[in-house]
Amino acid sequence: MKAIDVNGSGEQDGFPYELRTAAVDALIVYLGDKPSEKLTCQIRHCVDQVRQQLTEGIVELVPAYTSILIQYDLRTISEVELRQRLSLLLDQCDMGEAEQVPRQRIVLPVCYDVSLAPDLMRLSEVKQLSPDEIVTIHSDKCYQVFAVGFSPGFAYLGELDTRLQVSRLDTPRTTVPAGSVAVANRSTTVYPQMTPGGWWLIGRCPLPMFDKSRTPQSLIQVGDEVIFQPLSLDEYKNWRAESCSRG
Amino acid sequence: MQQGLTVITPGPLTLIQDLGRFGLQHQGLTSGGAMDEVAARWANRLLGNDANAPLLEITLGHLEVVANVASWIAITGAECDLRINGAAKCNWSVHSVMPSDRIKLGWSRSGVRVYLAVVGGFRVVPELGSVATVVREQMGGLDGKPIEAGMLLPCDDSRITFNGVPAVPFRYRPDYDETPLRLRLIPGYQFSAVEDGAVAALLSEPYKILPQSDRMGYRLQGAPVISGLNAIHSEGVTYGVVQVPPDGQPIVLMKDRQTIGGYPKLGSILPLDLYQLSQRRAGQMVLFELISLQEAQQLMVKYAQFFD
Repeated sequence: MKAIDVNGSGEQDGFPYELRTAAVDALIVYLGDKPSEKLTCQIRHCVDQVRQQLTEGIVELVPAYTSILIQYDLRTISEVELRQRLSLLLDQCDMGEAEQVPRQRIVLPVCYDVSLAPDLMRLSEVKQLSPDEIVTIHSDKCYQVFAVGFSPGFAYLGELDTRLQVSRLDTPRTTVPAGSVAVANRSTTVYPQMTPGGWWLIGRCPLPMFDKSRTPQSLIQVGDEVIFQPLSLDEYKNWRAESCSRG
Repeated sequence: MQQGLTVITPGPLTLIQDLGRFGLQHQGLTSGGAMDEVAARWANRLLGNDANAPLLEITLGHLEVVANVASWIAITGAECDLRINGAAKCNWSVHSVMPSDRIKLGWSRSGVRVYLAVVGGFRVVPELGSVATVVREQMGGLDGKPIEAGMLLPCDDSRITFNGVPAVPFRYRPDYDETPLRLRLIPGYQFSAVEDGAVAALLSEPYKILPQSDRMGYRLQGAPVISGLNAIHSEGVTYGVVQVPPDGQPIVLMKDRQTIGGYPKLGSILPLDLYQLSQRRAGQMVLFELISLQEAQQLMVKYAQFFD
């Protein structure tokens, strides 16, 4: 990790991390350089520890690929004070524990039928793989949730098999249907809402990824594991009918 | 009949706002909230409301509403022609409103956003802790949408004797035409990792505000800031972050910003300057300066004390 002069870092007996200022009321903790399953477990563990132990004055805790953004209430705590408390806490964090903590595994049903997968055939041409091969490769892996953000409930799942990696569409779509299962670069995702988007659409998931009436609102959280389970078109329609009747 | 103000002309973008929605950025929800917090706080303060009371943020003015209640309203922010039943009224002041009164705002002449508060605040049910309308997320306000013609903006009939301050003292009224607006940057994120020339370029000359600026971010045009860094792993984004995409033209992220982002970032602007920036239009100029974290924190604590 590149040494940063104006900011502190800690690496006594534990693991390396680095605290940097982000804003007048925010710090960012970097826990590594390269996203990995191990790092995501550590980030998840640190977030849990901060949430449990620093109850006062924390406004936002935003984990992502290699970092945790911490926004605090300046009326309650100054940056100097928060840095001290965080360093104490992080120095005591037992990262051996991080990978022992049970993780939530979420199964997302996906229908890869071409009628719901407008980019599947094109991806098949570009990648010289049959649609069935793409489905098998995509659904034959347990994905890590590296980050949630961009829009409500939008999860960055990785790492995508190299055989499916493809850069974003040259021209993003102005509307992508909610539930679209998509790939771009090293990630895959499910679009929670109907939004614009530049990822390749290869299927559709019938589950709501974001629901403001539930807690937490996002179906998947950073540190969870996700598996895609292929559905036939009929099965997909049944899922949809069921989730509609449940409201 | 429900009590409140009925919308005749909604204006180009009028939103119910408060100070924002917090604690859900890790779910992908942005904070939202009044873009010019100073003007919004003054409007509620003039009426003796809670600082977080729901009020209207009227972008560029051009709003007309009819009251079916007796109440008091406070108007702050951008300068525009304000009339109640045709009679001209002052900005930064409290005015009496009676049933069937028509409140009409012209297009804003100086500044961008007008704030209109009513006694007790608009009666809007908070969504996940806030009424802040974020259109992109369909959150808050009335069905997560900007207000439309025919909507009723619910508020109380409040025939109280008014005990608040009638107007904001002149010395506290900002000048939204002052140019260039200084944007004080608190160094942070990749500030120390970018190439030597990058920060020097940012501080070298004023930048022009581009027309693509909105509640998500202000896009600027001027000396290119070449960070020398490739795209970084997406990380949590704060209010006021200055990000530099590969073309080197800085973007200052505002209240409706995305929650994570992968462009290199030089730190964040002092919020007091962001409130001012929210009142600047395309074509106006800004000039970056550096400020120490310590000084920035002192200024924000003073600001909090002033309004508490």
